Amino acid sequence: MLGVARAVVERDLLLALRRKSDVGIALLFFVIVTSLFPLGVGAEPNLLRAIAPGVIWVAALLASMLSLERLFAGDHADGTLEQMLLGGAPLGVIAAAKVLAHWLVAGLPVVLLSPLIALQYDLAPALYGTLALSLALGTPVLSMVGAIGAALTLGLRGGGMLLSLLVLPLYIPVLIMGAGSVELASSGLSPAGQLLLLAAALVGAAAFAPWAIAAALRISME
Amino acid sequence: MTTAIKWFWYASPQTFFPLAGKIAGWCAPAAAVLAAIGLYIGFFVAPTDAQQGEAYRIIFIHVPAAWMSMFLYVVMAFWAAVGLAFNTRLSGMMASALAPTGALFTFIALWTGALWGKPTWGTYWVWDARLTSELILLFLYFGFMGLKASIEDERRADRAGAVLALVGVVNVPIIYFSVQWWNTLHQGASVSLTRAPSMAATMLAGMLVMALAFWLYSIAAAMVRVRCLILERAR
Amino acid sequence: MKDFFAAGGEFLAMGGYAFFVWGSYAVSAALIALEVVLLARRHKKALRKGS
Repeated sequence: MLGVARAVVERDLLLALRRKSDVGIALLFFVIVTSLFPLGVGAEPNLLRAIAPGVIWVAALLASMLSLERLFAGDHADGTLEQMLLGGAPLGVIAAAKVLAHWLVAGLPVVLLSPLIALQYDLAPALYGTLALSLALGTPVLSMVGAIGAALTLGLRGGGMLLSLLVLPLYIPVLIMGAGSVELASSGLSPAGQLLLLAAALVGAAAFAPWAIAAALRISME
Repeated sequence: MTTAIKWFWYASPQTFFPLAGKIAGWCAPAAAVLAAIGLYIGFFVAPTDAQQGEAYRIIFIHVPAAWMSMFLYVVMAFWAAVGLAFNTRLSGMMASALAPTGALFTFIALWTGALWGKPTWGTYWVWDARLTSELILLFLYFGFMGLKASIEDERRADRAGAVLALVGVVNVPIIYFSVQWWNTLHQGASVSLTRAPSMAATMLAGMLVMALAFWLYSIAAAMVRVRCLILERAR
Repeated sequence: MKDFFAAGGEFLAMGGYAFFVWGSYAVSAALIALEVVLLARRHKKALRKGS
């Protein structure tokens, strides 16, 4: 089972490396969105500092959601997905492996870039760690829950917009916990509670999402 | 007299069709009568509130609608789960039949909440926990209906919707509690609309009767809609 | 017992909150009525097509 997982992760990473532009575009989107807010609300440092956690988190959400369409589309188009369904390997494991690869390519860069964006918003450096940690815990959850939506909307016209409608409401608790943890830290309170909730969400998603993703894939491919 | 009800007998759309008609025929007038009673209690029996005056009378629609919106989502998810587990077409149709009415009550809860907020708290939209949760619930309903509408194949639509409804229903308490917490974090601006005026017994009675009326109405609407779906799908 | 008919217009005025109270009830009633009408029409159409 681990062998299958590793093979899938390696394959997806290899494919992503070959199409570096796809990866770059999602990240660029994240950066551009965060640049829009100061342009929209004005560059007053106090205001930016206050909205930074929320803005960065929303941008991370949107970037995650945009890149989800590509999760299964490629394999669906060239028939690989069908092979995966017919093959003997447990679909849940394959799904989880694909999500992991997706996160490594779409989510992890966001986590690593976040201090840079936080710098642009004049967020206190002491908060960088909490911000990055909240994103590190939260973006995998976003990838996993989003993958369920991607599997359900596989091949549908209007897929991208529909996917957003399905998935964004489910993202909201993660957004609240993630941005909330940084806000707590900025007020001098401990973010531990919210971070632990995020960790719990991560564990829960890791345990149940692969099953849901597999079920959704089977439904979409019948 | 048979003691075991043949549940799967009624799982056939053909058999359920006349039963649905009978249920609707009974529930609709009952709902109307209860609504009349509830409104009478709400306007003529329940006293004026000390702080909010007559404005609080919106509560007799707002709270029952909110209860229904959440209840219907859970019922919808239940039928979706049954459909997935037992592969019964009718269960998927029941879930589809409930969604529009659920969305309607969610919207009514939001609308009446806004109109209640303006005279009592000064603004139409108050980001309090309940209204915000209701808004997210509306998005969940729309997502469910949107997904089903986007899939041509009925079987795939039912099953995909079912997975979404189940993921949604698991998330609803998570959403509710995280929004509650979020609201306390950003306290100061909003005071909760959910802290209702000190409940006179008559106020509670009015709300409960209206809730019952809404419930019976929902059943009637769902039954009629399911009949429509049965006919439309039989082609 | 709330006596609304002491002053005739009192019921409609709702203590000055008429807009909000009636705005709520009217829109809710209208939406429910809309659902009923749409459902009735759909039902009739489905019955006609079916048989």
